[in-house]
Amino acid sequence: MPIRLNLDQVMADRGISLTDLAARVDITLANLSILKTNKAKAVRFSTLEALCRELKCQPGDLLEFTKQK
Amino acid sequence: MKKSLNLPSTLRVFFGVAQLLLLVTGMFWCVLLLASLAPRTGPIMTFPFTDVSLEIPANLITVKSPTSIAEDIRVTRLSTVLTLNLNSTDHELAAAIRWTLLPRTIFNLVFYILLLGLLRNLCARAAQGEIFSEANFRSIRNLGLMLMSWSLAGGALQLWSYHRLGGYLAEYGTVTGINATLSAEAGPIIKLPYDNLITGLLVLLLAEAFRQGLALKKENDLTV
Repeated sequence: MPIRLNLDQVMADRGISLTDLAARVDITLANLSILKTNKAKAVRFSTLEALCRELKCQPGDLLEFTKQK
Repeated sequence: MKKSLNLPSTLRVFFGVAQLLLLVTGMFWCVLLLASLAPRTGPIMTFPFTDVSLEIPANLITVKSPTSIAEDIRVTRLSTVLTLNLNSTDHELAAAIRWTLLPRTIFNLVFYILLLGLLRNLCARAAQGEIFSEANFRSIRNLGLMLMSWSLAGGALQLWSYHRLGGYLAEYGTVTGINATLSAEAGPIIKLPYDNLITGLLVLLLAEAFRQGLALKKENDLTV
């Protein structure tokens, strides 16, 4: 997919663990892992909002568009 | 706390038991029919044969209502059931009965065992909480196709019965006691079990709904 989620990078910058973030944004560890490993096909606005709120960032910090060759 | 009934699990057991009972009784019938293929005299073993009608003259039986005249309602054909002896000493009759019964028995046995197997698998998956899956979609689609093919093949078997047993009755059968002639021939339109055909089409429609539900589930599964 040309859209990537830089969740692992942002989490490392903020020094927050997967378990901690899952508890704060109120989604399961399994679903957060799907996001982190870029296996997700779609992200709900509500999930993105919760991630941005807890990681104190903008959607653009999390999402990245890369051209496919 | 009162334990609630798990319907899919209960039905799975029911279909399993029905499948087993059907297999045992069906095999018993097949062996019985195959064993009696060789001409022999045995105990009277009867079975009812339906789809037989008696052609009667128009004025033999009259039906009237207080305000109608005799020509308004006429009885020209009587539907009846023949009870035939499988161990008849008339070899031709016995052969006609057997070769009418054997294909029907084998066909119905195979169909019902496959049908119950599909239903059992569906219930087993539903009991595990697996509803929208590829396997369930395939099972439901196969169920629909099976019902439709059963309907068509049932019509063909009926035609075969008319040919085999009806042929015998047309050639040798005479009716006494009433002024009528035996008729066990297929009409201009073969009487297909249309209800199964319609049910099969409905099940295929359900399978299509399942296919779309499965696509939605796949899409939703990776949405966080």
